[in-house]
Amino acid sequence: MIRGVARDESTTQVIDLFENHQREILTYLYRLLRDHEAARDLAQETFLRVFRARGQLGQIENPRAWLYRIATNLALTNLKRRQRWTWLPWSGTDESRARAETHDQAYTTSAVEEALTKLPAHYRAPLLLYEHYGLNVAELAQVLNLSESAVKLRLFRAREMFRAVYGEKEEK
Amino acid sequence: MKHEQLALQLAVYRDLSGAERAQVDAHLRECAECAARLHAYQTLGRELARLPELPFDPQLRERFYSATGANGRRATGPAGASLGPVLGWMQQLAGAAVVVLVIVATWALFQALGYTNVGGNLPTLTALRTPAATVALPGDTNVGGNPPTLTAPLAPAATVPLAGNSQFTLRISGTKGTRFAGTCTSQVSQPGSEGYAQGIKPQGIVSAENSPLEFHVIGTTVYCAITRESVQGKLQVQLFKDDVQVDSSQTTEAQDSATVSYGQVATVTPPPAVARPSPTFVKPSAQFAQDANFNNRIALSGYSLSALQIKAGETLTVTLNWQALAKSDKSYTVFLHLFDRDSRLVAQQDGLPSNGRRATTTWAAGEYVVDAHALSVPSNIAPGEYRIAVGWYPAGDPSPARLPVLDTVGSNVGDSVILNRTITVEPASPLKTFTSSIYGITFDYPATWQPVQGARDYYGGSDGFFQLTPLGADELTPEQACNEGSYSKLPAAARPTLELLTIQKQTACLILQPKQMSSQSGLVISYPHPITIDGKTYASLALWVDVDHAREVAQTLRFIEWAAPTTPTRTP
Repeated sequence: MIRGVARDESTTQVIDLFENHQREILTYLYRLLRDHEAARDLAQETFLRVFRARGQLGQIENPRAWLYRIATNLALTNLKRRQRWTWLPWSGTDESRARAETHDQAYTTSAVEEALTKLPAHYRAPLLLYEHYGLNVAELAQVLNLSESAVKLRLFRAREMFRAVYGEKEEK
Repeated sequence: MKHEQLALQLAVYRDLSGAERAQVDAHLRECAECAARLHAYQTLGRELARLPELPFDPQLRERFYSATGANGRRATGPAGASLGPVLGWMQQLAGAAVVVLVIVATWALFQALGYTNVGGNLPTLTALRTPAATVALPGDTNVGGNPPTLTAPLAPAATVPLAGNSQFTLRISGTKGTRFAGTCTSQVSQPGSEGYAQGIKPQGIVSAENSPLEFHVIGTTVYCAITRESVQGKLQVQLFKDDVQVDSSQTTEAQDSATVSYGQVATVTPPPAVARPSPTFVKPSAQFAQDANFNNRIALSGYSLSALQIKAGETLTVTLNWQALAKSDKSYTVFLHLFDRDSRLVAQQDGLPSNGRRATTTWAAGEYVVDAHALSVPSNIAPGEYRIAVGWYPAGDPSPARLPVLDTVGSNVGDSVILNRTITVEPASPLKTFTSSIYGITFDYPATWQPVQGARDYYGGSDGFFQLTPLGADELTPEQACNEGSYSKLPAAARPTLELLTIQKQTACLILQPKQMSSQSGLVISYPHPITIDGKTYASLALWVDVDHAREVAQTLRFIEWAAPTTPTRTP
C-alpha cells in the first residue's frame, strides 16, 4: 500500500532537504534557465532524484552541494537540449516564456540580473554558486565535477565576463 | 607572483589560506591594477550576494509531495509513503530493454476533445469502444528481442461530458472480473486554468495492493507499467469517469491468455489542449478562386497550392477554403485525388478537416474553414501535368456515398471537383543511401547532398538537409512530440502538422512545420532497443529534415540489424 507506511529516516532527511533548500534551488535554476516553468520542473526533478537515492544519503558528506550538482547538471542538459530544438516550436516554450514574463513582472529584474543572463550558463553557474550561495572552491569542484584549479580558472573567466558586461562599479 | 597566477587567486580571494592571502596581499600593495581588479570582483560579488530569492512556490511543494507520496513537515495526517514501485519502474524504463508495449490508445479517443472544448466549454471525454478483434498480443512479438507490442486500437464512440476539474481514469482488469489493475487517474482542468495546457501533472500512484500494474503521469504522457514478471490473462482497458465506468461497451480486451511482461508500458497521450479559434464569417483569401457546392452543405470558396511544380517524391500542401452552408450533425472526410493525363489515380489523401481538429460537426452555418492537406506525390510517377480532385464522404463509412456536387440550379454534376490549376511533376532526384552503424539506421536522401563541414551528422544541399540527434529516455518521445497541446500556444499559422506513424513496428512522430514558417520537419522515432553512443544511452532518434524531403526520408528509414548492445565509438 502506498499510504500509511511509516516514514523512514532517509525520507525524513529528504523532506528536510526539500523544506530547507527548495527556494534556493528553484531560484538558482530560474537564474540559469530564465524560464520559471522549466525551473520548477527541474527543481522537482532535483528533489525526486535525491528521494530516489535517499538510501545513499548517509554516505553524502555535503547534501547541499549534492543538490546543486544535480540541479546544475539538469539545467545544463536542459539548455543544451533547448539549443538543439530552437527551430522547432516545441514543448510550450512560448507558454513558459509567457509565464516567465508574467513572473518577471513581479520579480524586479536588476541590472545585475540582466548582466548575468548574458553569461553562458556554465560560467553563470559557478559565479552564482560562489558569490550568491556561498559555496567554496572545494564544493564547487564537487558540484561541477572539476578539479579545484579548473574551478579557479572557470571562476576567473566568469568574473571577467561579468565585469565586461556589467561594467565596473565603484564601491559606495 | 605573476599577474596570471594572481588573477586566479583573486577570483577565489575569500577562500585563500592565511599564507596564500599574505602573499597576495603583499603583491596587491605594489600592484594597483591587481588591487583594482580585486576591488571590482568584491563589489560585483556583493551585488550578486544581494540578489533576491524567488518566493516559495506552492506548486513545487505540492508536486514534490504528490510525486513522492511523502507528507511534508507541515502536512497533517499520517506521514510517509514509498516511491519504491515508481522508482523501480522508472529505473526500468530508463534502463534499457524494458520499453514498450504500446496500447495504441493513441488517445484517438481524445482527439475530439480539442474541439469539444469549443468556446471555453468543459472538456468532453470521448469514450472508447472495442473494434471487433483488433486487440491482440501475438505470442511471437518478442522474437528477436523486440519488445512485445500490445495493440489496442480504440475508436471514438459516445461522448461523455466531464465536469470541470474532474478526473479520468484508465483501468486494466484481469480475467474473470478480477481487477489486477491500478488506475491512471489524472486531473482534467478547465481550459485556461493553470496546468491545463501543461498536460497532466503527476498525481502519484493509485493502485491496489500487490497490483502488477502501475500508472504514472510524467510530463504529458500517461504511462501504465507492468511491474511483475508477467501477468497472464485477458487485458481490459476501461475508461472511468470519477470512478464510475463510463460505458461497458468501452472495454477493450486483449485476446485470451495474453501474457504481459514485466517492464511493458502502456502509453496514452492525454487530451490535447486546443483552444478554439473564433469562427470566421469573412471569406479568407485564396491563391486560386474556385467555387463548388457540395449538396448545399459545404462550399469550396478557393484554394492554395504550396507549389505548381514539384518533384516526384515530394509533398504538395493543398489548402482548401471551405464554407459551411448549413450546420451539420454528420462528420465528413475530405478526399484529394491526384490524376495523371489519362485520368489514372496516382495518389490520394483522405482526412478529417484540419487534421481532425475541425470535424464538420463543429462548423457553424456560414463559417469559413481553412483546411490544409499534405498530398504525397509518389517518387515513381512519370513527369508531366497532373490534376487534383477534391470531394467529401461521410466519415467512417466503409462504402462512402460521396456528397454530390450541385450546379447553380441544383443539378447533380458529379461527386468531386477538379481544381482548376494543374501541377507539373518533375523527375525525382536520384537518391543515395545513408547508413549509420552508430545510429543503427539507414535511409535514402538526395544524392546531391554532401556532409556539412564542421557539423556532426549533418548533410545538406541547395534543396534541403538532414541532421541526426539521438535522444535520451528523458528527452523527447514520439508521443510527446505528437502531442498537439505542446503547440497550442502557437498562432494557428505556425502550428506544425503532426502525424503519429509506425515505422518498422516503432512509434514515430512526423512534425511538419508550415512552409511559410521554416520549411523544416522532424521525425522522432523510438529505437527497438536503447542504443549506446560514447557511453550514453539513447531511447529515440530525431531526424531533422527539410519539409519537402521529410516523407521521402521517413518512408525509406529502416533500422539495420541489431547487434548486441555495444559501445560504438565515433570515427573521426
